[in-house]
Amino acid sequence: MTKYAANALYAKCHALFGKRLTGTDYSLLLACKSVGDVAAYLKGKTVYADALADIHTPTVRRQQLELHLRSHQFHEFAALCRYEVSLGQGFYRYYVLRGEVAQLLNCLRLLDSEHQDDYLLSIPVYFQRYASLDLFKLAKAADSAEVLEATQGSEYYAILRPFLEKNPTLPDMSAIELALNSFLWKKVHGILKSSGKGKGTQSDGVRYLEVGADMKAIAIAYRMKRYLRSNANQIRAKVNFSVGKLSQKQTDNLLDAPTADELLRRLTATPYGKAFARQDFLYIEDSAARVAYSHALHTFRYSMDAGVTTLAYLDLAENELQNLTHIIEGIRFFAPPDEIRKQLIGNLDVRA
Amino acid sequence: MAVSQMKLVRTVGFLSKLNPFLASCCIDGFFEPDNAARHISPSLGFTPLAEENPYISLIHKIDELAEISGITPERKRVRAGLVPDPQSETWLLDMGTRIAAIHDERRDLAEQLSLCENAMEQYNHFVGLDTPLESIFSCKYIKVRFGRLPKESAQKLTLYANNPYLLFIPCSETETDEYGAYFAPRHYADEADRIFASLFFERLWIPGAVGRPRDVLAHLEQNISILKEQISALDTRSREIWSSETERLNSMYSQLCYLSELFELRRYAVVHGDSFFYTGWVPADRMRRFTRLIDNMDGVTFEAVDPTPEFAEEVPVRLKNLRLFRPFEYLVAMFGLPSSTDMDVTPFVAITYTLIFGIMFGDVGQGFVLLLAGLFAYFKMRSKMGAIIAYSGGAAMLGGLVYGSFFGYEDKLDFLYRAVGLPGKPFHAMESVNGLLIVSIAVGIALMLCSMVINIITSFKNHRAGDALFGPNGFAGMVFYACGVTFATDFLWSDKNGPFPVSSALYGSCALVAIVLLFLHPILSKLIARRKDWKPKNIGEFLMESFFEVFEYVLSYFSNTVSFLRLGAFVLVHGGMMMAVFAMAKNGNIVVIVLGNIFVIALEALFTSIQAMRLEFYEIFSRCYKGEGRAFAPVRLK
Repeated sequence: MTKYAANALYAKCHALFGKRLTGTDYSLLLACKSVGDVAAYLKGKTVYADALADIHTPTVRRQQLELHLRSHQFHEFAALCRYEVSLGQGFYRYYVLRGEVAQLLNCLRLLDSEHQDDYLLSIPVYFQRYASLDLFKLAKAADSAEVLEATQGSEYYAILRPFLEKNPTLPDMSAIELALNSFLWKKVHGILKSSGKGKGTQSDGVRYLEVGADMKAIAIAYRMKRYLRSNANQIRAKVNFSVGKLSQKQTDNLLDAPTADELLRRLTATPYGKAFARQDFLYIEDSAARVAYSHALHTFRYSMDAGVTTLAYLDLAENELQNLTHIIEGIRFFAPPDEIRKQLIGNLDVRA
Repeated sequence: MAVSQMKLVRTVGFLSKLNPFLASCCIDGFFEPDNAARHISPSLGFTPLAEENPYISLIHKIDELAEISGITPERKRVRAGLVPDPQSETWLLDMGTRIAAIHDERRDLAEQLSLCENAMEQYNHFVGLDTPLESIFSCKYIKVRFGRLPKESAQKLTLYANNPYLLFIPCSETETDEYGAYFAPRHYADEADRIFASLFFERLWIPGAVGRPRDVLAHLEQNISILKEQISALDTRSREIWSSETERLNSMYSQLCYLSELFELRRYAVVHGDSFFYTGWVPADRMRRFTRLIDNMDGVTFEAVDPTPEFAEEVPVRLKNLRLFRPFEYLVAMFGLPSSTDMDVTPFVAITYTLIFGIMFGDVGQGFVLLLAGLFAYFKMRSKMGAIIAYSGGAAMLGGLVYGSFFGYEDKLDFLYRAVGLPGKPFHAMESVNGLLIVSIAVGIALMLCSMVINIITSFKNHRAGDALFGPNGFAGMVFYACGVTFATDFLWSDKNGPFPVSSALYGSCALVAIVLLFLHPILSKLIARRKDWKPKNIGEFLMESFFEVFEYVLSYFSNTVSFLRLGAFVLVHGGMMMAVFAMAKNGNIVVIVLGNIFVIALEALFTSIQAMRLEFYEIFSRCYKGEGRAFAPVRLK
């Protein structure tokens, strides 16, 4: 990839970031009284105007709005990747793979439950065009065998087969999740390696992704400690710490903590200690997400590498979408604005 | 060339004569009313007139009727001495009733039309349904829902293909949605509603009707057509009513507006019993006319006095200049009019502005173009700036004769100089840069000294002898400035020309005396005015303040003088731009030369006028002119 092409992608990412929601937008959204008001604001005053052009704001439903926003984000990222084909193609593929993995996990979680229809209704139809999986076939799958049949011919078949054949009625979801995440990790490594910039992008990108991997691992480890009182070995079987930034010694120290609170305390001895200490703790996923967001923002602002900047932008956009989901759902279910605001992650200063 | 002297006219008369007095004496453009309460002692018992304008409501009524009919009433001239017509109100009310009735009927028809159009829009989506609607609505065991489904959700319906209780009939589609109806057995209706709600189905409530949707649409189209015809007929009737009464309405409107404005003038009066007291300003040169008009009225007397000192700042100002200088009143007004006791600087601005412009722009041909443009703007477009542009163009032509420049050509006027016996053009701008800059400074020094002289005269006129003698723009400041200029000249002179004619001891001592006077200016001014508080309260503070003030004066003399270097700079800019044009034209490409000249004229004229205005407003006015006057605003009713 030429230097100019990378500069173009870099500049485009920054230009898109400039259009993201500000603190004032968040404040005004939190003041909305209904989902329709939120939709009207997003349609009239933000970068989502085009995405919501077709919806009728007074009667729009929560899920419909969320689906439109997700669709917008997906298409925006796809367009970004097309902006610079040689580098962008790899990231585009990674993005689609992330989406496919999410759909698979969603489908498996809701399999054989009362809410199977919920998965069916939540399929992002726009995504079908880009995915290698037949989402409709996946939605119709009633058991593990039909899921395997739906994934036949894809890379996921080989990954899922051992788990679904071993325990078709109650597959080990944490192991499946671990396997799929490891698959994703290998893929993104390959993409970074083939980015053509030599070790620079590869190591920067890997370093960037390590933080995200660590945050996921720490959250799962904490949950297992708190609710299942799992020991270190049980946690290691379900969580892969080797792809993260933490050293073996630091990982052992964390996993050997007798309680979840002790695990949190031992985090201060890790590179993430200060980041966790700066926040008010609500729940572990929230804290982990905030640390990941800060890291993404820092990387986005200071990295000079187009590939890494693109990855960071993807996470920042994802975070904004998550914020909007919190707001929409909070307003829909009549949560007080202050409570909703606590869930939001990012720069919510109204001067922004 | 002065500020027109104003007289304060104080009029007393019977209250019944107030309107005739106003109508005959106060509305012809040479009388500015002033609040009479300020010119009379409250102890005399005069109180302001508190009346409600009886014409306003009638004017509003006409405006309302005109708005309903979509017409703008016209104002025309009215005859003098007009009195209100007592039947106007009755006629107007009757007219209002007729138009309002049409308007109400039209509104009802418009509402019906809107309903039909909405219904048509709804039914349009379901025109594909080939079943009579009454048979669908009368189903006993089947529930039906009309609405629209996003296309993405419609794709998900395939997943319910095996569900026997759901049936969706698409009727039409748009780019993003499919319109149709779904049917479900009564016992499954709730579940069906839940499924379709999850698919973001938006229910549409269509009005009840008989027949198939396409038949309903045809019927609606017919109705819409009839309604539109009826509305059009009403609009025509409304316009006919208005047009048949246009003359009378416009006449009434004009009269009412005139009477209303005349009535508003009564607010300035104060009354006591059946007498009124009224004041206003009249230019002194119009007093004879005013006197003649008042003398023709019984029951009204007046006296005209000069404004007292406490009203000096509030006296309105009307400039009176020779026709030659009158266009520059626009420039002076831009900064601010002189107060009644100040000097009118319009002639000074006229001369200095054209001089400055002429020096900076200096080109005969381009100046001629500006002259023509200015004349066109003044005579054809009635633009005030037009005259100024024309003068500037003329001055530029004179400047061009000095520089020998004709549309950028430096040699085309040589024949003229030879004809008058000169060897060549008087001044080679691009070859004598130093000389140009020295001349610029000299012009600046001259203008600064002139502005100080104006300030001295104005200060004496306003009984501010202290400022006139000891101020930074007064005599002391002028002497100090002149000594500074002499020092600089001596410095430059002595290098080349031997001893300077003026002794350094002389100008040195004058400068010293002047600066001491400047330093003591606050004290000396108070002493001259015979004020008892001439002693400063705090000597240290006084010394510090005076020091910094004198420092600031000296700095301003220097900076304002140096500012005039721009005169020479813009001459060089002009020359440089034309050199660039000729360089681009290479072998005399006439198109490039013409376009280049047009560009230079436009750009340079703009820059030069801005710079000239800046020099006037900042370097010159800051020394001699405040511009705190208030424009004379006489009442003029036609």
